[in-house]
Amino acid sequence: MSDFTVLEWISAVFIVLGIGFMLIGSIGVIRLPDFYSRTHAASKTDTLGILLVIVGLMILEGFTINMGKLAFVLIFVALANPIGSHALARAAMESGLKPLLFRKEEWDGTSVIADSKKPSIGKSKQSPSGGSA
Amino acid sequence: MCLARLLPPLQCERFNPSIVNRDTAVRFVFSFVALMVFWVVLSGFFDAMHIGFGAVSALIVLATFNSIRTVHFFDDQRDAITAVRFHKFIAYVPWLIVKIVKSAIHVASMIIHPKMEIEPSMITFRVDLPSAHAKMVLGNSITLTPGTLTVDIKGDRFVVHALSPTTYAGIVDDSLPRKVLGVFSPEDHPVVHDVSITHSNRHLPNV
Repeated sequence: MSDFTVLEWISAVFIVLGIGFMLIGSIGVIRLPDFYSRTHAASKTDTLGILLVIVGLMILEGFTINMGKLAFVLIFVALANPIGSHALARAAMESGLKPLLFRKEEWDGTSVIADSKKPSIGKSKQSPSGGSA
Repeated sequence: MCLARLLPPLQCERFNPSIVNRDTAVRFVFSFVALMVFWVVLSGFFDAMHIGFGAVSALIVLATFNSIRTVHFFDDQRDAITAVRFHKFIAYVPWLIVKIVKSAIHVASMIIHPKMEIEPSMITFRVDLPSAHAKMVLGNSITLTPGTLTVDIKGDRFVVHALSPTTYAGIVDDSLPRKVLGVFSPEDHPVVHDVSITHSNRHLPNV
């Protein structure tokens, strides 16, 4: 325990926090209802996860040439990540996949409540989850 | 040497010394310095031979991409380097990082909440931004922020998918788009207009 320096503790906290965000992102991929909201979980919660892990590694590395290399990785992840998720979402929209949209009242935590007044929501639930599987 | 030949609609242009002005000079120096920094950091050697190799490689890259750089893909495309106001951009990056951290915590807490109180919605709006690059920065910033996802940009019309009202608040109240406008233009005016938010599949905008 006492073998760790303060910097190592700080970097460990960053890395563990980052891994935590990635874990939550993975849980989100399973829990969220349709393709578009899963894209949020798969790519965006991971953005902060990866950024935190790399910052933790930079602190661990100290002020060396490898810190610069990690900084480049940071920049490239921040540039490539939104382009990748935008390309996914745009391709899905262009190919006609409708997003599953609802209000809080129509949502019971796992699925959309099929309301007799709004049959289209209950029906449309099949196509997005089927398309994203 | 001419990369444009790979893309049929583009034309290969010879280097024309008469178009050299302040803009092209700034652009050349900026690109060269950026490529050299990249080279030096990746190589880790600082002797004359390695730096020389780097300079030659950077010049080859710049010569290869020169023909592509002159091609304009959008009507309102302008060269980014001279249009960016760097002091604003340096202030914008930490502001965006704080926003990313805040919304990442919000989205993560929504996902692990037992009831998962999400409210997916589509937002369409029009923007009043000076160039295609400004729209690109806005679109990328929206996508980089957890909880909002730029689905499409057609002309000045954005289509954004959002997970909850908290996540799209920063777009609808014009705070994020105005920051982007500040990076590209000294004048300040409302950017976002014609906002429409839909929570139902039946009222989906035609994308």
